[in-house]
Amino acid sequence: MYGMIHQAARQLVLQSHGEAAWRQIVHVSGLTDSDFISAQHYDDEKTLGLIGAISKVSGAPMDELLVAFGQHWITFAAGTSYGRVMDMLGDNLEEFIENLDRMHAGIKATMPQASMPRFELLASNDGDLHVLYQSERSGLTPFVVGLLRGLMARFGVVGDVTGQKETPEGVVFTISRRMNAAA
Amino acid sequence: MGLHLGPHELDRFCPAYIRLGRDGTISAVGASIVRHIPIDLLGRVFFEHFVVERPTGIASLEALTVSGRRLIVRPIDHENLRMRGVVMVSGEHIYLLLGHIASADVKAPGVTLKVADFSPIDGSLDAFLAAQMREELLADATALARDLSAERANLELRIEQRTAELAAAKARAEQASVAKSTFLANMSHELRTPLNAILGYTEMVRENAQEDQRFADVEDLTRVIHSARHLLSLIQEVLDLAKIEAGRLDVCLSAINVGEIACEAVEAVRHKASVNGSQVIFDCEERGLLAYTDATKLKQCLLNLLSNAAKFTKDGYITLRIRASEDQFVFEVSDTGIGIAAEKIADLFQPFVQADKTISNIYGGTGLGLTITRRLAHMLGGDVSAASELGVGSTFTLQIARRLNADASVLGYKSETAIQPSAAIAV
Repeated sequence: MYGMIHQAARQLVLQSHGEAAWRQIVHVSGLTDSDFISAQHYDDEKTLGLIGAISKVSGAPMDELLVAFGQHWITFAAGTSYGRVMDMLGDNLEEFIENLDRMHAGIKATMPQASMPRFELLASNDGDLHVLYQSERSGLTPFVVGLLRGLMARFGVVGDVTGQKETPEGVVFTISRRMNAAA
Repeated sequence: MGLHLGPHELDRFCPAYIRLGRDGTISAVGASIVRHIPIDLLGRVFFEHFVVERPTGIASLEALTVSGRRLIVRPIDHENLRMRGVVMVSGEHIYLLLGHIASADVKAPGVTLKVADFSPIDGSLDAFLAAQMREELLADATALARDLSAERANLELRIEQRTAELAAAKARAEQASVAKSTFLANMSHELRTPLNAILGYTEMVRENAQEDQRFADVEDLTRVIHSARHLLSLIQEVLDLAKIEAGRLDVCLSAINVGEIACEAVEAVRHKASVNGSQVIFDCEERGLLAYTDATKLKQCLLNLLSNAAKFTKDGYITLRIRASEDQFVFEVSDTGIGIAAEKIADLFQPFVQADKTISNIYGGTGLGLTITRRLAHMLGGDVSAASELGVGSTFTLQIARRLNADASVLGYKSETAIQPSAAIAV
């Protein structure tokens, strides 16, 4: 993964647990300043080691931590230079998801070694959104749940990720929307 | 030239396409154009709503179709929206197959480019993403430089503070050392004076007892005298070290023959060695070894080393060798005594340290002799070192400067008076 993920993890820990906890996590993970360059590509082991260290120090289970991290990723990325790119992806949840692959393709053009996930909005007539997630990595589905929740918050969608189903093509997430009570 | 893409396909690959009739009116536009220019363009004249910026000067449909070059087209009412592409003619239609040019101005009022405005084959979006990456990298570099700068300033401050603390601690330690040495010197003097009186009067009483043939008293008084002398020697060593540390011991230079000094030292310990059944061997036949140094301190060094050797060697041999070079004299005192464990050698020259705590119980001594010897050796422009093997013996090597503070010619000797080792001579 690339270093921006590490930056996001740092911000999440600093906001939730403070400087001392972050120093301890860096010590446990063995990362150095050079592991936090945004556009630098790092082995997944390094990133997972960092997440593992956060889990160890904070006491949060890995799955819960990945969900929280996914949610945080959306707000973190929006605050960087990529915020402009995210603005271009769409004005609503569906449009954004539909254009994610195009953005990832553009990033991959600059960072060919990056392994990007693929997202596809599946056709549906049940009122829910069904998102097909495909990735060469495994074990990151809680992170995707967090990402989808983060996007729902970004676009003011009320509801939750209510389903997650393994299929031969990949994992299909279901987003159930509710009418906003205030609306 | 044929174009066989339907409107839907054109939208997919060139969302900013414009189709013109031969008369220059717009007959179709891509989804992106529709989104950016909300008025209905169909049937309107192309050049009333668009300007061709590159190549310059194209103001007619005919020129447009025959140019053969890539165009840059801009809507007249949208200064910041530019599109680039090619012109193709197919049947009655002229197609401008355009893509957006990403720039820093993509967020002009009323014109917001979306990912959907770029066709999948349009590299402009990739360039735009790369530009964002570059911005993020620059932000990283700035943050890193700021952190490093702050870290460096913090480090410099800590170094300054630590240096000041160390300087203060050093000053305090030096003051404490001087105070301690002064105290020791004074106390040693106060102890030695009454002890000398005790020794003197005890010897007088013993002489009286001897004359009166009170042999039991003589024996008891002899023990008192031995103990008092032992105590006096200990106090003397403490006093010597205190003087050295307090900087109160001066060097008295004179032209001397180190061979003679060595002989005197050997003679002084010969009896002590013989009591332990040991023999002292002085391996030097040349006695004209001139030096300009402090004779008393040199003798004290040699006496300390030879006394130690005599003390720790039973039924063995103690050998003194002298070697001379142009600048130095080297004295080697070797013995066949109990030896010293390798791990103990490094601490030998520390004050109050003996190789084994049991040694002081068996052999006596304060553990100051070698410390004093090393300090004196330093004052004589040299040093002392030790090599030993447990159960085999030890060799202590004393080096001193040949001329401490004088020109060789004053002494009238030359460096060629180097000494050749010769057959051992028992003293």
